[in-house]
Amino acid sequence: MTPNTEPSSSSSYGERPLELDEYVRYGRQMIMPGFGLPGQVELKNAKVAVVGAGGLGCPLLQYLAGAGVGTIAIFDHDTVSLSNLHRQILHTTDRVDMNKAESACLALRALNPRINLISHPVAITPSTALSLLSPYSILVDCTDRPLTRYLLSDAAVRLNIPVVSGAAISSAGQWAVYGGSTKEGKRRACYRCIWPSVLAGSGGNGMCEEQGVWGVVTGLVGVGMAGEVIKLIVGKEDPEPVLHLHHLCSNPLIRTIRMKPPSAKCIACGPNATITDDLDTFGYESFCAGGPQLNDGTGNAIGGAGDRLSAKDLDEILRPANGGEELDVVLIDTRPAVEFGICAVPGSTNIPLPDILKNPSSLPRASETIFICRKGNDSQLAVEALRRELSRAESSDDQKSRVRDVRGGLLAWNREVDQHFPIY
Amino acid sequence: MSTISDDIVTSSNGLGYTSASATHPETMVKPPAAPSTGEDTIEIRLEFGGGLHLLFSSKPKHAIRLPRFVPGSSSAQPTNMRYLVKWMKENLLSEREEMFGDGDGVRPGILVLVNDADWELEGELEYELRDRDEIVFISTLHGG
Repeated sequence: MTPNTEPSSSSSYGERPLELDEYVRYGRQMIMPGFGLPGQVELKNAKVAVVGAGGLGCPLLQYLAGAGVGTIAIFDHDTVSLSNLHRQILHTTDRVDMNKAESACLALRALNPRINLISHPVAITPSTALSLLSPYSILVDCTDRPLTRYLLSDAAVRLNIPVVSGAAISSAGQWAVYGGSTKEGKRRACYRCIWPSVLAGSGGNGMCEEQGVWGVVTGLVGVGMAGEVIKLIVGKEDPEPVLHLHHLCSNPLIRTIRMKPPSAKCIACGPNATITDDLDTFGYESFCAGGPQLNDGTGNAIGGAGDRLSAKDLDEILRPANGGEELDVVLIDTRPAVEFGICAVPGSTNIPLPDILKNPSSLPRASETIFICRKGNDSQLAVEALRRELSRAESSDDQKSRVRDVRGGLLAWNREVDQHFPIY
Repeated sequence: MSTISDDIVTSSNGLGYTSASATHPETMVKPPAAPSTGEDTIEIRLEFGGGLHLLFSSKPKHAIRLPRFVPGSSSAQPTNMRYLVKWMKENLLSEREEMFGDGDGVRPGILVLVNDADWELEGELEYELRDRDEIVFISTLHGG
């Protein structure tokens, strides 16, 4: 042994499994009956892969690092944005635009320099999942979309390791340990056994960006997931697999339900599984697609040339000098009322999209109707609904009403017209 | 202030409670009353989470009464989950049937809980309902 090889790990009285300062650092959890030095050594030897350093990953990582999980790999290809910080509490205002895995590592190194942190600023894909994740004995899914959730579950089945998977949106969350086996050797259902298909059109499919989320809800779910990881490592796991459901306004706050055993029909872990180590051949994109997607402000879904306005065009129309009043134009903002209350273009009227779709004939009549929304997607659906209504209601000799929408919505309004218009 | 926080909660699609427990504590912590024995109907509490309440008039909680025995059954078949799912399709569902149902059961991707257990542990469609059973329908969430 060379002199600088951790001289503190042994004394004249024999080997110590922890550094001296670690006895102090972890003392408050080690003195609990059933935890002890063996539990702490298990934590120190554990190798955990965490995918996603966002709303769930931040609180989870904080507690795993604090508890002394010896090796933590953090995978995240995304960068920190200002709108993350209300819930992604490891990141800081100074680190906006930094990669999230790197930013999380900085925070965790400051919290606990005794653990081994490995930052992977990359996305996990079907072709890389198995090689990237094979060094680890527990996988933690803190991602935010179906594709990665199914990919991680399938990879864990192939690697025969458990996945601690959680999700949160709005004021609700859920988390569970899927896959692998309990201490008694009982196989757990994998994520696919419990959720065999993506339920297109259900509200749970949404993203935090569109539906919003309470920071404390991702926090509570992330901490709950950290609890499951630590319980797995120190051998205190639930003997029967359970799924936790949380809603911020329910009583009790967390409902815990008993999960079924693995499904014989499961295509990932069942006896006739069709998913193999060659994950690249499973079509994750098409499996997870929830119907046709309207995207950004390009407007290729509905409407041809001249049917959509740029934000600059709208600005021209609205200017009093150009006779906005006399032109008999009505500007309808299709966002939910709560978002309209945050900011709105002066002169716009709020009629949320569901009301428009339900009853397009009740919209105010004008020679020109212009719809605007946040990004330029919902406004296209409103245009389609009103045009259909008008073609049904207007006879051929009536003067035609014009119906258009604003390409790129309020984001474009901010970019092209008013840089002081709030973007949220 | 409470109005503001309630609005935020109301827009939830999670387990989809329409109001905070603080404003309707009686619906949240009601102690179990004596079972309504002797009647020819049973009370079933339904709850929808993960956005599924959107299929049922956007109401996350329903209390319904069902006949104790399946109507028209020759040998007094106690009301079971098969009858409940059929009843829900005919009486409660506000959207197209294929959004919820799949054959006699429910679409894959909808998790059904009978009194806090996956219904597959309780006999699935054959589970015989008891007075004041709580049946929860949830779908998975994806945000994070």
